[in-house]
Amino acid sequence: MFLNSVILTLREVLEAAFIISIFFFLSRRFEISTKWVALGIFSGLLGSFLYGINVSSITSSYEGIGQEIFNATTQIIIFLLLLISVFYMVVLYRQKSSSKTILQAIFVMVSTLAISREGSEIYLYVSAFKSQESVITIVFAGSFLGACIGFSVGALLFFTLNQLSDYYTLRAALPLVVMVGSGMCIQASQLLMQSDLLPSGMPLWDTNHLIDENSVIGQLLYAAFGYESSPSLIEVIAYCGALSLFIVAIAASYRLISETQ
Amino acid sequence: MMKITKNKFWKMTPIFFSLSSWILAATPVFKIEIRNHLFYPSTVIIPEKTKVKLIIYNRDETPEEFESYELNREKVIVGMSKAIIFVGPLPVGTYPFFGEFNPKSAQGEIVVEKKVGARVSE
Repeated sequence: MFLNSVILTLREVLEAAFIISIFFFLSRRFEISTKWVALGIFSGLLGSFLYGINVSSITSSYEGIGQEIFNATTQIIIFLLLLISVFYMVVLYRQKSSSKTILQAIFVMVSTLAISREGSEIYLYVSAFKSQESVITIVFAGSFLGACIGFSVGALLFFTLNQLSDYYTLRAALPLVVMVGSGMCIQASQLLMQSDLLPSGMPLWDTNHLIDENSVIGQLLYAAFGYESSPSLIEVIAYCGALSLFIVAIAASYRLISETQ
Repeated sequence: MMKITKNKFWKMTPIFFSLSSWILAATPVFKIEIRNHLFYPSTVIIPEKTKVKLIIYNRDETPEEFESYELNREKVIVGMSKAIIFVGPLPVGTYPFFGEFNPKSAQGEIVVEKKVGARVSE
């Protein structure tokens, strides 16, 4: 029970902590006030609660596939926000005087959405035990520990990135953000196949012998980048499509900078 | 016999059969129940390369999350309700799933076999 709580909370927190750590790193590099973190976490927790108490009506909407539609939409919105954010990251890196408001707003929105999505599962898990007084303390303690570990991993990522010189700011952040965003698209496509809104297909390949999805590395890669060992055609298209759009966004921002200089 | 084969419509019989089986061939449906944080049945056998529809009935009061890394499926099922999840088409193999909220007890697997048609075992 204790271990379940730790692992469950750790996994959920990790997914959100990863992207928030990258944003925190960029805030420090671009001299953006980090007040957005508190706002993002607060709205995220509020969102988790709201989603958690409404999960029944959300799920039963759209003839039982409301949950998939809701979650997939959230992930696609996060992807679009990340797409816009890479554009502004490049601009800000080259022109320190550019406006930071949009990037800051994106940081808040993505954190809110990511925390709401992951936090709702934690809320549902913990609330299932509210009537069992004997175990509720164990569940709370385990969840708290899991959250702390997840937060620590995020902090570790931040401190690792912070060691890098400014030359590597974008060179480290962009690939990470691109992989997170593309991972969101894979996960969204899986939800849509789960609900039969997108056609399913046989897996194209299986790299489970290289990186096992059940291993610690596999789980970390899944939490951060949506690692999938046996993707179907739709998932590959979703990932490549997302990658292409990111490349376009980055190319567009470099073009904009060179034109204005 | 002579009278039947002299009827010009008998040649259309194979067409009618294929058409009707195409119209009637729906996605196979399999039902799983969650009772006391256990899956019943815990093993579901489905045909290979076929998309199937799983209906999961959560008979417990508390929510459960049906999850599987191998199947790439994840859905929260609140207490006393059901959820529909599509799985497949998949190659032959064994695909474990579990209840994320009660992973020690709620465990099961989808076994994909080469046979045409499927059976469900307890």
